Amino acid sequence: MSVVALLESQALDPQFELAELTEAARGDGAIVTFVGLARPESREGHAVDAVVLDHHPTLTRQSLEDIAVACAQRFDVSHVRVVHRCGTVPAGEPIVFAGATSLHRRAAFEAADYLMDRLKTEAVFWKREVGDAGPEWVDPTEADLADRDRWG
Amino acid sequence: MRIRLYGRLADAIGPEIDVDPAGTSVGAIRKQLASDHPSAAQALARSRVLMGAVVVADDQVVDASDALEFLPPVSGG
Repeated sequence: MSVVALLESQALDPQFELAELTEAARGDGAIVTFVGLARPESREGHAVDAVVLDHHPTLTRQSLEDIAVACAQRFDVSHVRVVHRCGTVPAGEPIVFAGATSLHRRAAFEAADYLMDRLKTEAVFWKREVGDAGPEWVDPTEADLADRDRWG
Repeated sequence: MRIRLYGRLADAIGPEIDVDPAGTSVGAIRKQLASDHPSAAQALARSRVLMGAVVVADDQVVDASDALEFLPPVSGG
């Protein structure tokens, strides 16, 4: 069992993160990963050049760790890996990697789903989109909150 | 005393400011900041305040040696 939760201030490389998870997953039968990208368009339809993620010097990484540990305890998974960008992420570039490995696929699918639902609503970031409309602060949507609440 | 602010609050007020606490409370500082920065009033009202690593209530008394952090609701990742 391993739990990795990293806050990344430089570029996030999903292929590297998958390779790390694959290396850890020997003996498992499943790896499920999710890669989130910075969207090039806001909910209001404005062009977005970059997403800027402000973070707290201690609480942000701790929130990633707390979510990853809770995931590992909740599901029958072998390894959990969360890597989240902070700072300025140009549109189209990876903003988050979340993955889990397990003996059988169902647990890894559920774990990755759980990770993202909690990361999208509870990770300690203050997020704004920068583009044509100027900086626009972004909050979780009602759908994001409903997704998170599915897990009780 | 030094106050650190995040997110919308850092945008509206600045990432760090110094205020003269003069035996005041967290709630009084919250009100003063809202009065000085009306555009941030709503975010200030919804913010958690940390002293050290501990969330404190508005009746917490502060002095010049304390450091506060105002954290508006998080955006998530």
